[in-house]
This record gives sequence, structure tokens and C-alpha cells, in this order.
Amino acid sequence: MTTTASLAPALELSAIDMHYGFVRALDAIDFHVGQGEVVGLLGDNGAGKSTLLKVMSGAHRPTSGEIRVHGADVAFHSPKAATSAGIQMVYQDLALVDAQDISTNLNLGREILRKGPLGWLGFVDQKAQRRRSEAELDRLGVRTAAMTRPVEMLSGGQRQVVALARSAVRVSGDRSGILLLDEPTAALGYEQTQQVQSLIRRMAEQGIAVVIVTHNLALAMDVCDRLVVLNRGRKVADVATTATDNDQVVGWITGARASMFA
Amino acid sequence: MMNPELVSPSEARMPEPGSATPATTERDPLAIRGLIFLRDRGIVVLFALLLVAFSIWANPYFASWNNATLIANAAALTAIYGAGVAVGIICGALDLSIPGTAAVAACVCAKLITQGQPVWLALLAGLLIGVVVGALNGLIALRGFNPIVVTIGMLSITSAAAQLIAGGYSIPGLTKLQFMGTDRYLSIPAPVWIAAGLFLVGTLFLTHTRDGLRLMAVGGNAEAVRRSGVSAERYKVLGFVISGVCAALGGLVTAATVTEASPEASPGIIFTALTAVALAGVPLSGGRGSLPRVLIGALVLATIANGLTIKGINPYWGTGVTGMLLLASLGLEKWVSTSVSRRLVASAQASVHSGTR
Amino acid sequence: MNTSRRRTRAFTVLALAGAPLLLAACGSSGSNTAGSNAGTGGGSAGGSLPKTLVFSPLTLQAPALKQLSVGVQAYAKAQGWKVTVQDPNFDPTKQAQDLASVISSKAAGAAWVIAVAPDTMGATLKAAQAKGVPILINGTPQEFGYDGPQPGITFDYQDYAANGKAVGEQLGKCLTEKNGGKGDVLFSVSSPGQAGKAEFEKAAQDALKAAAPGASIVQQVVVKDRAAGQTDIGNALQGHPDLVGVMSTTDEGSLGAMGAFDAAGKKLLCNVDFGGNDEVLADVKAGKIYASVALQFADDMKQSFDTLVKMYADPTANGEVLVVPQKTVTSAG
Repeated sequence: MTTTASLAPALELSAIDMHYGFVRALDAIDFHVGQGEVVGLLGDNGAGKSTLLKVMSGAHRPTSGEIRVHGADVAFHSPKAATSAGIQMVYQDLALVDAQDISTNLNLGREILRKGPLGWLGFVDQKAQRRRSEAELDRLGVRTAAMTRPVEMLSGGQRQVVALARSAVRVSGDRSGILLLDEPTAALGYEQTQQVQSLIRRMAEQGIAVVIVTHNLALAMDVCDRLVVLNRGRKVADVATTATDNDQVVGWITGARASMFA
Repeated sequence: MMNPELVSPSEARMPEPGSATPATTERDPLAIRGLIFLRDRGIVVLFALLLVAFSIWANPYFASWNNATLIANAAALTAIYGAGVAVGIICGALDLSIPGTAAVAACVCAKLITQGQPVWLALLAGLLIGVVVGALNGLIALRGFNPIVVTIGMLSITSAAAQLIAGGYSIPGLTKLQFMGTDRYLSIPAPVWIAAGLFLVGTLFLTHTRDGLRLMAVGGNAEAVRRSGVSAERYKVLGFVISGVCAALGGLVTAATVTEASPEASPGIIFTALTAVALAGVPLSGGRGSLPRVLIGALVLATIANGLTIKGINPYWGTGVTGMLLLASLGLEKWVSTSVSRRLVASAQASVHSGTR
Repeated sequence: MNTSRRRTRAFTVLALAGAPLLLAACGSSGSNTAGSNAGTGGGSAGGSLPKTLVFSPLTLQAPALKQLSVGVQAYAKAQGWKVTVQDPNFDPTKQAQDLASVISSKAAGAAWVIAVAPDTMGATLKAAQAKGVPILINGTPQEFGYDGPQPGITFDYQDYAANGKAVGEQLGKCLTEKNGGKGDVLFSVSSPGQAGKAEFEKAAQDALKAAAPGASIVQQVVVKDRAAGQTDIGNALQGHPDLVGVMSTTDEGSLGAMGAFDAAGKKLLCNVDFGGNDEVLADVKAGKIYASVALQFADDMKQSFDTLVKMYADPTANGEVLVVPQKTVTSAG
């Protein structure tokens, strides 16, 4: 569940600053997440957590600071660069293709072509794709509707699962990657949130580093190993979940409680 | 690395599925399946009904092989344009430049033939026109302009180009194109073969090839495609190119049928093609659609026009009937969708852990 | 000094305007087509106007009209005239405005107008008369509220009834020759709203009845373009398998009918056309089309221009009432 001390963190940000003119969206943020670790990024609206997540995903370039992936310095010019470095982000809008089925959605961009001349013409081996997707979902411990079910006929929780799985399989592998989740349970009910939680934990167990931005304190306390709280662009807390409680965290979020680093 | 035993401890921490019914129904309830059947195959039912109705009403002239080939021939042309319109809509763009592309392609081909060039070269040139116009449409639309407006502009440009190339008059005497016009093979007119071939290739492409699936995905949710690391923009342009090629093909087949290439870009083309596409249930919002249904839509239109003309009724009435059918089919589609959603929600014990449904 | 100039100009305009009106008042009692009333007015203004014809057709986009404008320019040039071509592009207001500016600025010595909206041309006609610019306009005098020839205006109209009669007669003749004067006939007509449609069609039907009483028109099909016409006529053929004759008010109709019959493997005994484009004429020569009635636009152009030149010499004289010549072409010639 936690990284061994000898390994470099999967993702490490040092002294990240983000200025927009005179506004300091992020102020000297240090952040790290290890392989197999789930870190929650908390904070009130405008605290900067979405901005920080976007820096991690390559959507924003920080004004200053360093980013290291598996110990190596990187500079993301675009989200594509981040993807190549092994970082996948799941946005709130999920971006699934409603009219197509689960298997097609999961395999978009990495289709399996048929062998032989049909393959040269671009024909897809849909059976093989379905089998592969089923295996991948099994590995993640996810059971979902049939691979041939169109995504539009899934419930909100199932869709979230498909979106998560789509990114998760792209970061699973020998060198497990980093998964960034933006409000993964924002639109979900209680039971569906539980399902997503289980999936996140299973992914962490497979070595994927997960960063979750969320407003949902219960989710954060349940599923995260560590919590990082931002307040007005500054990091005010970085603490193991087991070492803190609801009141403390709320205090950090609202600013009632003094920063750990003051 | 993927230790299967890791799965079990986490499963032990899973909460019990809240839903009461553990019964894993393998298929959706009959009602839902029935409604979906109606939505997907309703147009075939409509077509069958029309055939029966006209056979009785326009007896004995309607129900004959000759008449069937006549209907198929008329439908073929609408279907070719319809394929272009459908692919455009699926990709998220209504391509209104189709009549202009058809005219330019026909005129270029005719001009080359009358200048003594070999027929295959002239046809190839015509199809290339479709590719070029489509690519231009796509690239300009990518810059952020509204695709409908872009294609309207392209319609003006291509119409003018057709007039210029043809010198203002139709180019007659294209008897060399008869092999793809009024000639019959196995008693079936050439355009029917061409349309059938186009639809076969098109359907396979959209449903079974990587690029076709990605094309449909771009229409459904371009962002999803981008997040998968695929260039959505490239596929949007491809959609326009396909639309342009279908338009060019339609123009060439029309010219072959009448042995004359007309530089008049007939806007009626868009009307009938769009009607066929709408009858086929292809939503204007894009992302989904079935080409075979477009073919049936074209057949429905041709059947109505044919039946009414045989009975001596002004085909304008046919347009009215078609319009009403269209509204009825839209209403039916909406009703079916809401019914299906309601029933799915009611029957959804959708838990990730309750297995397949 | 300025005011006196203005006064002089105003007086000249009044005089110019007044003279033709005076003449019209004098001359309206005895109107004859070719008469020229030597008026008392201040001479013909034609002499002071340039030898420039302003030609304003419906639109230059239609190839027939484009060709006409080219023909006019060539013919005029050969006679020492220049031509200014305007393109109202189906906009009646634009046509009136463009003409008004040329007429009032006296940049033209003659005007030839194919009106977009004949009802609105009244003012233009009067203005031309006032300026002494002879004007030729398409249509009958009655369409413009006159009952006969007018000074300075020549009317040139298409005799739709004569057109239709010729078509009907030819079809009747063919059916008599080839089918004993009887048979089922399809009538291919143009879209509603075309000028002269009603007169043409009635004349055609009456003439057919007279020439071949045993023939009957079993169906009418509206043909807008050749491809759609071919399809629709093919459908009609299904409902009337014994069709032997077709008469069309457009080339698209006759050519489409030929295509439909060929595709159905049937023989079209009698095909009579109105229009006469090159392909149709070639088919007539080859015997595939029995006859084609065609308007002779080239001859019409010549007669129009020549009349205008004549009027230019004396714009106060009554103009003529011309008819667009028609010619029936059969395989005989």
C-alpha cells in the first residue's frame, strides 16, 4: 500500500508557482505521490487544487518549479507529453462515446486489428478486443455490464467505472503510471461512490499512483493514504490519513486551523 | 506483476450490493427489446407496409419486377447522396455543398471525355474533385468556422466553378458513360449496383474498421477520441472527404443516367437526401447512424413517388406525404427513446458487482 | 450666375419632357404601327444621345441570356453601336434603378429591357419616353397597361398560344402518320409560375385534339430537370404502358422522355419538343424526335436591334409590336 523508501516517488513536484499577473494561484507547492499510493488533494473552491492537478496533467505550465516523474526531470508542453510520461487524467466530464459499446470505448486508440489482409484494410478484431477488455477489467477487479452494452445504457456509476478503467489500463504495466482523478464521485450516489472507491483501492494495490481531487471528505478519509490540503494557493497540510481526523482537515480547508508549515 | 491474489483481499472489503434482486437476467426485458426493435427496424416495417399498400392500390402496375428496378434505380441516386449526408451528420457536420460538388465533378468528367480522354481517367478526376472539396471543407471548418456555413460557402464556389467549366451550358453526348447509367447487368440497372456496393463498403467501414469506428466516435464525442491519444481533427476531415466523394459519385452517376452533365447545382438533392437520412433515424446531433437504414429511407421515398405517379397523382403530394412521415418517425423515435430510458432505469439494478446483464 | 444656370437646365428638362407628352397628346388619336408623326416639338433627341445601347436582361447567369448579350454586342458593334450590359440578377428594383441612372444621365441612346417584373416597369418606360430614349421591352402592350403601340416603345413578346398550337399540331400530325390518329399521350409541362404556361398548354391541348381526335392526354408530369424528369416519366410509363406519344414544353422533358423509354425498352413513337437545344435538334435530324418547335432568338435579336436603331432616328414615333419568331424543325428540315 505504501512505497518502499528506496524508490523515487512516482510523481514529484517541487516549489511549484503559478502566477496569473498578480494573482498567485499556486505558491511554492511541494507535492509527491508514490507508486501504489493514493493521495487526496483537498481544499475549498479557489484553493488551487484544480490548478495543481492541471499542472500535473500537463494542461498548465507552472510559472516556476520542477516536476519529476520516477525521479527524472520533465517539462510538460502539453497534455500529450504528460500522457507519454505515463500520466492519465480522468476529467469530470468522463468523455465517453455514448453510442458505442463498452469494449469499443475501452479500446479506442489501441484497437486490435485482424490478422492478414483484412487487418491491412483496417478491420478490427472485435472479439479479441472484447476478450482483452474483459481480462483487463478482471485484473482491476471490476465486473461491469456486458462488453457489448452501449455506454449510454449504463448507470452513472458504471460509466464512471468505464472511464476510470479506460485510463487505468493505460497506466498499468511494468512501470505503473500515475492516475489523476478530478472529482470522480461528484455526480454519484452513495452506493456508486462505494464502487468507485473499491476500484481506486484495487488500482493502488496494483502499483498505480493515484491523486484524487475531491470535495468529498468521507471519500478522502476512506480511500486515501495521505491528504494534502491547499488553502489560497498554499499547502497547509500534508498528513497521513490515519494521523488526522475530520475536524482537523476541515479546519485546514477553511483556514480555521493554522498551516502545518507556518 | 499483476498478482491475482491481490484481488481477493480487496473484494473482501467491498460493500454488499445494495440492490435486492440477485437474479442476473441475461437479456433485457421483452418490452425494452421490442421498443428497440421498433426504433431500429421500424423503417423496414414502414417500407414493407408501403409496398403492400401500393401493390393493392396501384394494381397491376406496381408489383412487377420492372417497376421494382425503376424504384431501385431512383432510390440508388438518392441513396448515394444520402450516404454522403449521413456520414457528414454522423461526424458532426451537415454538408450543404453536396449539390455543388456533384455538379463540378460531373462537368470536369464530361469535359475530359469530350476532349478525348479515357473514361477511367475522367471518372477518377471527378472523384478526386470530391476528395479535394471535402478536404477543403474539413480544413476550413477545423479553423473554427461553423461547418454549415463553410459548406454553404463551398456550395457557391463549386456552383460557380461548374458553370465556368461547362461554359454555362450542359455538356451532352456522354454516351460513353452508359455502362454506369442506363445499362443493366442481370436485369438490374447499373446505379443500383453502384449504390449497393457503396453501402456495403460504407457499412463495413463504419462498423468494423478502426478508422470507421474512430470516425463514429469523433461524431459522438470528439473529446473522448482526443483523450485516447487519437487526432480527432484528422477524422473530422475524413468525414468531409467521404461526404465529398459520395457527392462526386452521385454527380457522375446522374450524368451517366442522362448522358449529360449539367452545371446546375440542384438544391433538391440535399432535400431528398436529408429526408432519407432523417427517415432513417440518424440524429442531427451526430455520433450514431446506420447506413443500411439510409438505404431503406431512400427506397421509401422512391416508392412513394413511384406509386403516386403511377396513380396519376402529382408527385408534389409525395413530398407532403414524406414530410408527414418524417414528423411521424421523429415522434416515434422520441417516444421510443423515452420509453426505453424509463424502463431501463426502472429495471436497472446496475451494480458493478452483480455481473453481466 | 449659378441660379440662372439651374433655371436654364430646369427649363430644358421641362421642354424635353413636355415635347413628347405634347406629341403623345397630338398623336394618340391616330395610332398606327409604323407611323411616324413628325411632331412640332424640338427635334428628335435621338441625335444628341450617344450610339450606345443599354441591355438589361433578367440575369446574365442563364446561359441563353448570356449568349444573347454576346450576340447583341457583336451585332451592334458591326453597326457602329456600343453596348452597355447590365445584370439585375432577378432583382426588379435593381433593374429599375440601374436603367434609371443610365437613362437619366443620357449615357445611352437606346434601351433593351427583358423585365424581371413587368408590372413594375411602368415608371421606367415613362422615363425613357421622357428622355427620348427609345426602349424595347419584352411583353405585350396590355401587360403594361397600354392597348397598342406607343411612341418610343417597342414591345416584343412571345406568342405562347402560337407556340403551343405548333407543338400540339405536330404531335397530332405524327400520331396520324404513325398511329392512325389515336393513342395515349404524356404531356410534360414546366413548373407552375412560368410565364405563359396556361396559354401555351391550352393551345397545345386544343391543337392536338383538332389534329388527332383519337389521341388522349393520359397524364401530365411536371419536369424541372432532365434527371428527375427521366425518373418521373419512367414512373408514369409504368402506370400507362401503352404510351405512344410525348409532347413537352421543355427540352429536359423531351430528352428525359427519350431516356425513360429507352431504359424501359419501349419505343416512343411520337416525341414533340418545345425548346430546340443542340442535342434535341441533332435527335430530330436523326429521326428520334419527330419535331421541335424553337424560338429563333438570333433572328429576334436582329429584329429587335434593327427596330431600336430605327426608333433612335425618331424616338417620338410610335414603336412596333414584335413577336419572337418561332420555327418548327422536323427531320425533313
